[in-house]
Amino acid sequence: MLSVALNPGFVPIIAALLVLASPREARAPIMAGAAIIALWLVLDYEFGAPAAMAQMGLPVVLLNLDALNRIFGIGLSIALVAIALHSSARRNRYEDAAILLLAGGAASALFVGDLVSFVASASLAGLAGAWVVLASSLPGANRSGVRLLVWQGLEGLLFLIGVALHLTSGAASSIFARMDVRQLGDACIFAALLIRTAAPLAHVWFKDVVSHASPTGAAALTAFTSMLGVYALARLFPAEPLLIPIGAAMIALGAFYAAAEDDLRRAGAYGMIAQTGVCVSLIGIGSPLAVSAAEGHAFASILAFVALQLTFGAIFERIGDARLSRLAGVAQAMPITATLSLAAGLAVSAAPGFASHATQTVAVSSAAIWELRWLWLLIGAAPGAMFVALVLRPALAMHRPANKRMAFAEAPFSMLLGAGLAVFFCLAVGVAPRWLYSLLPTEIAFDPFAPDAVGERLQILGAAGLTLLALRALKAAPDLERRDVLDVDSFYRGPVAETARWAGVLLLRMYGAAQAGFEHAIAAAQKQIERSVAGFDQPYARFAPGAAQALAVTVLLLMLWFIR
Amino acid sequence: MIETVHRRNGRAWAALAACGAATLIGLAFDFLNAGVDRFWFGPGAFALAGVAAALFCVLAVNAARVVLKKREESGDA
Repeated sequence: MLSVALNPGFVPIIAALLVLASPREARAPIMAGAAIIALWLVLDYEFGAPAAMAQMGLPVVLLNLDALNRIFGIGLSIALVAIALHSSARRNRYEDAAILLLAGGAASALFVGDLVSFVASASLAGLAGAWVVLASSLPGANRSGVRLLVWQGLEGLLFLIGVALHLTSGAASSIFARMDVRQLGDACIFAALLIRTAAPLAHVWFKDVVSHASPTGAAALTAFTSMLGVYALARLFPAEPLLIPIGAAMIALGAFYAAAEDDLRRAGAYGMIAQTGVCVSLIGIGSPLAVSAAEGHAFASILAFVALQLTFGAIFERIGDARLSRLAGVAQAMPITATLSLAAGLAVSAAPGFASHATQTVAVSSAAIWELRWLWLLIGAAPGAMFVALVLRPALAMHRPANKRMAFAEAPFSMLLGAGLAVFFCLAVGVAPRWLYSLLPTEIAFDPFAPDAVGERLQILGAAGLTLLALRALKAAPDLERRDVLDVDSFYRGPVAETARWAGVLLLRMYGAAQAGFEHAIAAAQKQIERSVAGFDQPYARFAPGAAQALAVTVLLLMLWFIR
Repeated sequence: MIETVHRRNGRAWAALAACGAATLIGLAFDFLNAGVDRFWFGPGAFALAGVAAALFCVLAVNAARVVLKKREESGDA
């Protein structure tokens, strides 16, 4: 009997090393096998921390299982199985290893029980995320990977400063405990987690990497990055009031850009930001029901958005693009992919029958606080925006007949299998949500199929759809136009970068001028000194600097007197 | 050409029928359960929330076209 309590996240990390040396046929089974073993470990262990050790006086808890991290662990493991199936359609061992390392780092961070191990695991996941992007062959992927490294570097720095200050400011130990954003160290950790969750102003890294990663890599980044931040916020900062406006801003921003984007993979990333915002704001509310709702919704969102990115990835694989403006004829050429895309979109929009409907119902109920009724409305209306942005617009674009015969066929079988599995889990959990509810830390007795819950959701989705169709008929909702949309990164990669470049040139020139001036001054002083010294040789010259000679001799005598 | 227009309209009508049916069923469920305790809104008001969500999305699309559209295909500076 193996007595070592293995962190479930270590399994994908070990598998990542195996994958590097495995033939193509073995890689997808190894990935799926690692996910299944990790899932088995999550479900097999008893709650609690079986062992801890000390390093440099700090406790290191490599495994601490409870209801909070178990639900996230199950979600990530299921997502990894779907991604593994999807990955067998292409040949890229480095990306396979990077995905496993990313999943392993994220899962390890979920199950460790102390801050130092958490920061180490989260940083490993961050580096692996950059590797996933760098392993992509798409144009611009290298630069996007480097930008992600910059974000991860900033996040890691904030983590390190935060943990150091937290430990030196009288914290009992580095074991997880509720933190306070009014303490400087805890505030640094809070800021690092906001970067990880893709909070407003730091959200651009997420859509950047998802749109530059490969089809499989985009799904992996969707599943294993930002939701780790949600878990850590639930663990360290529950009931933090600051999270409520931050989450609300994420919902509004995510919905806005999901609707505005032409690139569907990027729109999916923005949609994920919106749903992450729902989880963040619920954690900010902080009641046991709200935190449970946040966890459940994070679980459902992971599955739904993985399914969505896998289907968009299948389209991308065939036509080399996933822009709305280029989807004409896709439904005819790729009917299964189009159907899966529709189903994944419905899962994202919390349509009745999908897992997110069950969790959205709990989320809306837990936000029903009179003082926060604006947030309740925002969370309640979010599925309408998701439906318009990620279901109706893509469906209408895909079913547009193409002007010429399509030169592409249905997506590869393994891609369809991966996407289909993700959609299946969304449906299976949605049809029988008691299983999900029983995994949450708080006992929940909701019936998501109660007529009022179903009625509310159908109204929102249906009315949103009718409004969009009416506005399209009136030509007030223009669409299908190739465009790239400005976001905050356009500002700092445009005017700010240009200003910095000019400032750099200006500073270099100033430095050069200062250096030249200094050298000139030195040369002039040297010449003057030489001339003065030469004056000693000509004491009777007409213009001999007699006063200078007298001064120099006086200074020399004084120095000798002092030294003596 | 005519066939293309017909097929396009056919898809739009199918979407319209699905959305209309969803709205009607949703409203029916809502009004049949009018006695249930509700937070803030009365029955049928969620349809207005759906309309607002769609208007928000259309606003986003128009804002993207008019204000937020990148002038040229950007590189990855």
